[in-house]
This record gives sequence, structure tokens and C-alpha cells, in this order.
Amino acid sequence: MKFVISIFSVFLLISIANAGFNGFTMHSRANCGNNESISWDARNYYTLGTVSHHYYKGQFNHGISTGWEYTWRSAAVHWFEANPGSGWRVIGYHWIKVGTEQRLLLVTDVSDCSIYDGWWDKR
Amino acid sequence: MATNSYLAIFFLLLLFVSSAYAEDFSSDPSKELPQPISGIHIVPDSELVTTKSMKQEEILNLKQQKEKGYIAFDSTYPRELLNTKYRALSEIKANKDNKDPGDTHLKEKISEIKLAFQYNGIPFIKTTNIIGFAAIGGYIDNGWTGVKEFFNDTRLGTCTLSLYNIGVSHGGVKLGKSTVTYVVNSKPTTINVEGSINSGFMYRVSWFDNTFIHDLECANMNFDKEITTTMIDYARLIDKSL
Repeated sequence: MKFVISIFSVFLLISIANAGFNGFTMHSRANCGNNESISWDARNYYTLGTVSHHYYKGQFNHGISTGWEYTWRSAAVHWFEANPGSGWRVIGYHWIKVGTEQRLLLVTDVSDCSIYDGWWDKR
Repeated sequence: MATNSYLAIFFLLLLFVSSAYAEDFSSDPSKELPQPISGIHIVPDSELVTTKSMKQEEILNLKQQKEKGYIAFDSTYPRELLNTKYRALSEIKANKDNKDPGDTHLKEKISEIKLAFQYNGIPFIKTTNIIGFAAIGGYIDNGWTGVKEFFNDTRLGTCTLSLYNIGVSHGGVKLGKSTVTYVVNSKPTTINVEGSINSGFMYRVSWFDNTFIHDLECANMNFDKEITTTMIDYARLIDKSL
């Protein structure tokens, strides 16, 4: 049972860590167990849309789209697609709809598991 | 044996979650989102891709905005924003020693946030009225692509200025022609008020150029057209200061 709880805790941590506490934040991660592109704000709901394109060893493999949804967290995630170091690249397109206007706020392009587009690599 | 059952249920749940999230857009037209763009595009309203139900809602909202001056909408966010001043001090204090550049908690000074662009804060807001600053957008190689400044104003309520640097984030925006004015220094501008007497109102003035999407938003429990007028004056000053 402890084993299940531990795995579930790790799963939750992967799922909810690092939401913007005071505003809207976005990221993508690759080769992270998952390949994912996520947009979120812990304090407000928006009409969000996230597209995540997944490339394997340089070739486009497939894309995931959330469509427009009214939510605090828009997640285009392919669970368990990519082991660490398995050669995936993720390009995320992070959309928000404000009134009628459609904003592409960020394009994320990553090939590692860093939460914010590679900041902990200190490139 | 019991552990194996729990494991089986757990992985079945994960598979369910997995299938709920992983929708291949090529097989589901309802998941279609616009093609990537960069810069500012003012397009006929009919070119804004949305679902049929969203289109109907937009028409209703525009009608309400025109007739009543606001879109009737209940939300917890006006109160949430109005209460920021009460939680700010403890949040800033609790995260004072957090040197993680990815941290998105409130900061006392703008210099405590690593930004991918230059920003010094709104110059005409008194220090005593500033609640704090927070990182928004995404963290790219050299810092955050956006910033949000929180401040109090006796006339407006509790306000935020959010700047998204679409120059560094490779972003863009599509604006429907019928909603655009040029009241902020001749730049494309959109204005919106939504809320209700019960939940309070959110006022927004947004203006756009090839570097920034600027959102000036204020929460106030009352509906007053003068708030929008004052916000436009503020927006003009802010825009000139950037």
C-alpha cells in the first residue's frame, strides 16, 4: 500500500507542481516520463488552448490539442510517452482567449525535463 | 494480492487520465486551435476560429457590453484580487529567501524577478500603493517573458499591470476588427468590463504592439464607467513609460 501511495504522490507532484501562484504561466517538458505542454494560473479561470507537437529523433511524430476550454489549467500531456533521454523534442503553443481576441502568449521548445524551458540547465 | 489490486486500479486510472488528455488533433476537429502567428493581426471577426457555442456567447457578450456597459458574469476573481493586499505581506515574507528563479510567488521589488527584458515598474505609482510583483509567462534561457505588477488605487480599486513580451516569447495576437479602438497612444486597444453586483467587477484595458501585450486590470465591487476612463488615462501614461 505504501508503494502505491508513494507512486501516487509522485504522480500528483508531476501533475500539479509549479503552477503560477499569482498569474498565468506556461511550460513544456520532454523526455520526462511524459511529453507535455501546460498553461495555468492557480488563482483564475480563463478560456485556454494548448497544442503540443512531439518530435521523435528529429521527425514530427504527432500533436495533441486541448481545444478551447474554460479552466485554470490547460494540459496537453502524453503520459508515459518518453523515458528520460529517449530523444523527444516538444514544441508547445500556449493560447488564451480574452473576449474575442486570440493570443498566442508563448511558444515553448524543449528537449529535456526542466520545468521552465530549461532554466535549471543554466545554459 | 491486495497490493496488486491497488496497483491495477491505479494504472487503469492513469490510463483513463492519459486518454482524457491525449487527443490527437488530426482526429478531432473540435480540438482545433488557430495556426501559430507572430505579431499583431487585426482580422474580420469571422476569421476568429471558435466553436459554434463560443461564437454565440461572444455575440451575446458584445451585446451586453454595448447595452449595459458590462458583461454579466459571476466570478470569484474580483474579490480574490481585492484581497491580494491582505495576503501579500505574509507571502512576500515567506518567500523572501527563495532564490529559485522559477518561483512565481509575490516579490516586494521588481529586481527580485529575473526577466528576459527590461522593466522597472510603473513610475507614477507611489511605493506605498505597490502590493508586489510576480513572474508570469514562461521562463526561457535568460528569464521570464512576462511580469505582473499589483497596486492599490483609491479611485480604481486593486489593479494589476500584466506585460507579456511577445517579442521574446515568439507570440502573437489576433484581434477582431469590430472590438478594436486606438485610444491608447494610437495602438490597437480592447476594453472590457465583466462582473455582477454580487461578485464585483473586473475592468480591463489591453493594448498591443509588436513587443508587448499589455493588460491593465482593476477589481472593484462597483460598476462605474469613470473607472474605465481613468484606466485609459493610466494606460497612456504607462505605455509612454515603457
